[in-house]
Amino acid sequence: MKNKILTLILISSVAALACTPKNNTTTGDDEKPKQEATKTGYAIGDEATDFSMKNVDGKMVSLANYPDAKGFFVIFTCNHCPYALAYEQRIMDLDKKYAPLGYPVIAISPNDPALVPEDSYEEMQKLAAEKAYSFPYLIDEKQEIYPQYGATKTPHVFLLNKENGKNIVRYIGAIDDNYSDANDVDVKYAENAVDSLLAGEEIALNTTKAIGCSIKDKRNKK
Amino acid sequence: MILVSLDKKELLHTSVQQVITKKNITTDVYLLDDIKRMNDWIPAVNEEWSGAIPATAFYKHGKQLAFNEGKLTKQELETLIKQHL
Repeated sequence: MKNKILTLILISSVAALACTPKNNTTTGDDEKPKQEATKTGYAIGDEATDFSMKNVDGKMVSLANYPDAKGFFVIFTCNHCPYALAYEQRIMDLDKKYAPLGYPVIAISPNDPALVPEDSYEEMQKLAAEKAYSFPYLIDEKQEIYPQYGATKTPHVFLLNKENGKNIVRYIGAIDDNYSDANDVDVKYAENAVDSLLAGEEIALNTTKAIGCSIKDKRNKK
Repeated sequence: MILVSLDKKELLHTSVQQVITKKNITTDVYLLDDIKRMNDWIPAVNEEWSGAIPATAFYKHGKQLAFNEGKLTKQELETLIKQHL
């Protein structure tokens, strides 16, 4: 290995391998021309778009449905991803703690169910019912909203703060610094961010990076 | 080629080993378990990397020449390698 001039480092996980679509052994669709998804997304301070997406209860949900909210945790998450699942309870806890303080969780599944059957609307309904989600779990059916936000993976948190009637992005990133063990977390990034907003203070750390499952979209490189 | 698994270290001798055997992987495989400093080492690998996996980095003489977030087809991988040979 060492005498090879070109070194290729592939970073992945068994978990990620395990959740690749079952039919990916065929190479038929590899030949199709790929429409590159343009790299877009919000920076801190940008105004976030509102949306109207279908919730697991069949109703359409928009940020405008929450006139009393001070802001939102818009969290891109899904059924299948081990990182998302590891954070599921913490996402539920965030809503329980911060919805009463004015910052409810809005969960959005951005994946194409044609690529990941576990992320189908029906499977989302099952999971939300089983865990009794206290927050909406929306499906980004047209896969139009996640690129606008700039979500690239699950889970991916966007904390919005309502300022002069606009939803301003104030934090982007991870929930905390330990996906694997909620009892061994040193820094609760998302909670610290919203606590700063509630206290009227600057958010000390407004962007963080963490490992997550890439969003499954036919338009992306496969 | 070096493969880096980001699985939990508890899975090294079970799932990870199983995949290595099943897929007949002969390259070096490392398991990176530095969970609590992701916010440090993700940007250190590449500033543009959001943390989504899989991800692939190309190095020549210790210098990173290319970085790809997301899946690559075999064809895309070969093209990228040829570009940088």
